[in-house]
Amino acid sequence: MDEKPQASNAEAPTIRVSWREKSLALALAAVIFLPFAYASLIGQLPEQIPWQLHGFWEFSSLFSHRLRSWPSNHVLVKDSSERWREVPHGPPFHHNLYGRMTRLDLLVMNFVMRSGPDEWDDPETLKQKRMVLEKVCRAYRECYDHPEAAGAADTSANPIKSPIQAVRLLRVWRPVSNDGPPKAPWPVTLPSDWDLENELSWDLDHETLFELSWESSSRPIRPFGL
Amino acid sequence: MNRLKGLLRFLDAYWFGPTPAWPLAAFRAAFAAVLTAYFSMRMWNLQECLGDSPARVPDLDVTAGSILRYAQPFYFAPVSDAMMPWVVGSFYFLALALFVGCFTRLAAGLLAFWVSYVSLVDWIGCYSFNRSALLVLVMLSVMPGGKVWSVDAKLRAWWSRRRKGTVTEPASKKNPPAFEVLISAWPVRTIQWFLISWYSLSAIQKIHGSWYLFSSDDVFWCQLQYLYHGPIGFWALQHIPMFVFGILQMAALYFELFAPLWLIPRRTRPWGMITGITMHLLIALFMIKLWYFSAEMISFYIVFLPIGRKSNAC
Repeated sequence: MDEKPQASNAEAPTIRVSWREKSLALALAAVIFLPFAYASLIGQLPEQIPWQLHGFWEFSSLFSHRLRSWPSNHVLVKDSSERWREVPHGPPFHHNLYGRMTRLDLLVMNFVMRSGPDEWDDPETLKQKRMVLEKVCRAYRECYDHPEAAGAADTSANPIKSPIQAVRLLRVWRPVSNDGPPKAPWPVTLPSDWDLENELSWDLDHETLFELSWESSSRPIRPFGL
Repeated sequence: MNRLKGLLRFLDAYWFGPTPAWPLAAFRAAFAAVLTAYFSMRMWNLQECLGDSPARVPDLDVTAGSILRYAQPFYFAPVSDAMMPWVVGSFYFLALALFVGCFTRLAAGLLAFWVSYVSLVDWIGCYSFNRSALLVLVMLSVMPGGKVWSVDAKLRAWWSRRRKGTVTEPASKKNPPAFEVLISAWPVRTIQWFLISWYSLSAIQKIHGSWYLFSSDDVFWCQLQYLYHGPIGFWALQHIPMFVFGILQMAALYFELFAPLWLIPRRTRPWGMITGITMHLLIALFMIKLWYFSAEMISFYIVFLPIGRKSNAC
């Protein structure tokens, strides 16, 4: 690089920059700015850029949408007493990566809930989603089957008794309205008056994700389409 | 034709003219410090981030047509227990090298490689910070970030003295003090416009989303109750009237959308910098665990210094 200052006079220092350096600087600016602007304005990079690299330029906006309701994920385990109990995300997922978001939230959001126009017609995608969901549920099953080893020792008055019969994830949509007062802080747990025994009495596979609405009076549980 | 030539001359002077070297060096050190703080926080849960934990999704062999392509663009195997100390150690070694400016470009390039590797191993845990940090490190790997305030500068001076056979060399036109060393402005301009375009594009995305130019719709008020819900933010929600959050939201939107107007002209730049830094401090205060993002954004403001000096005029 040629960056020797040329002191033609004391008031206006100049710098001699070679054409090679100028070309490299402009090429760098193009590589950084053009995909970044394209991804932000169009929403997706052009197909000429390999799809594996698209994510590297897609980071421009946080909080771009107003929330009408927000989801929270809850883990329910059915222990040897045949009762459904809510357990915390960690263990096995201790880390709050972004705000209150744990890896369980990220896994559900990125792999299980992500949907596209032809989602229901693609058996391969459904298989992949189910694989991730089963892996998450298996992690909880192993964790509470061997609580001491996993650091999940339950010291409550009514501890979880292994072996674990079933694990289910519940994704609850909580309405956010600017008419009422702000909602209570995290952690969000399921209301104690919810009848989990009857709500979750579906004759389905053990590892299942359910969705339901927080404030719906009938609380219809809809198994997620996996 | 003359106008076009005049415009090209202006752009050439703006992008490649002389500017002090120290803001770029200060940014380099600040960015290395923020990077260290962020990844140290991630390493607190190292096994979950990089190791073979229940969070690790096996290779799904995702194709271009799958909706899961965003979740697993590449599959990278988890870091083994034997390799973990090397991965962690290499980060701190390279971050320190970037901070003190020792083989600055090489350190930035290798750090870019490191960030891209850990981001791909832990893609679902890789958000705006990792991705923007990667682009910044790629930029720093070709910029003269070690021109002053660096081990590189000391080594160059030592080597120069040794060649000439002198013990010390007084400050001269060829060897000016660090504050007076000039470089071509393109590295500083590139980083300045990276921040400015980030702001403006973010505002455009917000408008494409559910933000309005003439009404707040309480987006910020609602977001404060979601994942970044913290004790100070919740206190503010309970004690500060809702319209104040609306005003803050609109101020943030207009600041971001018209960022070039606040941050490029020399007269508005101090006010733009105060507004931007205040905005990021409020985000760090109100939203839990967003301090590292605020620190990253604030570090960019260093390249808008010095204010009121002719040499940094646009």
